[in-house]
Amino acid sequence: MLVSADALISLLRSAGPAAETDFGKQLGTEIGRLVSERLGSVDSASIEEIAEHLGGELALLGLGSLTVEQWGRALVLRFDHCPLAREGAPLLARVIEGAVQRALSRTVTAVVVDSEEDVVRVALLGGQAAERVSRWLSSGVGYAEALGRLQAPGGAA
Amino acid sequence: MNTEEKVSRLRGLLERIRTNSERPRRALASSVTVASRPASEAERHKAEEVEEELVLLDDDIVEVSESAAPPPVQAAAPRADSIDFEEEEEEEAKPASSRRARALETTVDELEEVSGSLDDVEHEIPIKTPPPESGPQSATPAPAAAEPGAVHAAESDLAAISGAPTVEQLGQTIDLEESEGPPLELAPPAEPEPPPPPEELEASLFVLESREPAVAHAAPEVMPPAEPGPASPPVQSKALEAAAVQRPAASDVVVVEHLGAPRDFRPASFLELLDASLGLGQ
Repeated sequence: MLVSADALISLLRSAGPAAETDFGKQLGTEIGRLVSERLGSVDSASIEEIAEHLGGELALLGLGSLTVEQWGRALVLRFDHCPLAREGAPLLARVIEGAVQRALSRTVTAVVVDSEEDVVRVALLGGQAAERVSRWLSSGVGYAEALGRLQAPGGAA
Repeated sequence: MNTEEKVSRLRGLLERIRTNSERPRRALASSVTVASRPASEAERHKAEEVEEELVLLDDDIVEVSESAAPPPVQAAAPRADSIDFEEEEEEEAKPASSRRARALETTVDELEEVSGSLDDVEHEIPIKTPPPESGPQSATPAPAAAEPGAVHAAESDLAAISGAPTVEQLGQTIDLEESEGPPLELAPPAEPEPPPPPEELEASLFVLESREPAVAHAAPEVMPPAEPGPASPPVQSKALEAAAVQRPAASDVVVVEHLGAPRDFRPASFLELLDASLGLGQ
């Protein structure tokens, strides 16, 4: 069944945030399972291998082209030609959380740091770091500056 | 027969004529008398008269021109016999109206004139071909130049005029005498012209300073003096150094800026990078 992105977003918005989070994580878990099955030992997988396989599964779902970015010690996933930009970006973040948790056995918080026309950047952070970055972004700080502050010696308090 | 052969034969004829004319008459008469062989005194006297008559006739033949009455053949015959017998034989073979016969009938005076003209022509030939730029006067040869002594004298004169050594002076060492008189003194160099008035220099330097101060300090005299315009303010000489204007920067816009940072953290796996990212902010 093929559903348009706008119809899916509208449905999830009407269902509420909890339903959106559950839907996204279930979708991501299925992707993570496929990746882990193909890679076998995911712990020793390189960045290129993860980018290839994870990006392949997300591209099959029609979520765009994946690029892995490293901002210092921060891990950022960039999606080009993504139909879930802007209003659908939170759904994309829940999909990433579910896939990483399933494939790599890590609980991460995906924070949308940049969402433009058809480009979405999602940073994979811990709980506290994700709250700080979200607060900085809400105050008008750019995502690059926020990621830089996060890597400061004091933890950017 | 060409002209040279004619000339040579005419010369030979002239020489023979001169030689015969210088001979004593007796010898000429004897030749005649031998032929006649008079036996008596009367006959000898008669022979002498005939001989004188022949001489006179010979003189008459010489002086008579071609337009005059033709000379007697008997009187001209001995003259012709004494000159050349072969010529006579040739004359007999040719007609009397030919040019050859007229040449033989030429008088001695005409032969002398022709000979003289030929000599003149020979003398007029220059010994040395003058150069084309020498002019007509130097082209005429000196009359005594053909003589060896004259040539030597001419060379000496030429050496004296031109200062070149003569043949006797070649190989000799000549001690030059020191020049007499006061030593040569060179005039002192001319003093440089005084610089222009300071007002003009200040005006020109001001214009150059405002544009390119380095060039103005390097060679101010090379640059043409600028005409002071009405808007140029007067500048004192002390303000020249302080009025230097630095060239502004090309642009304040940063053309190249390095935004990246050296990667201190190089994770070996995706999981290592993920763990590092999760450890931020804790």
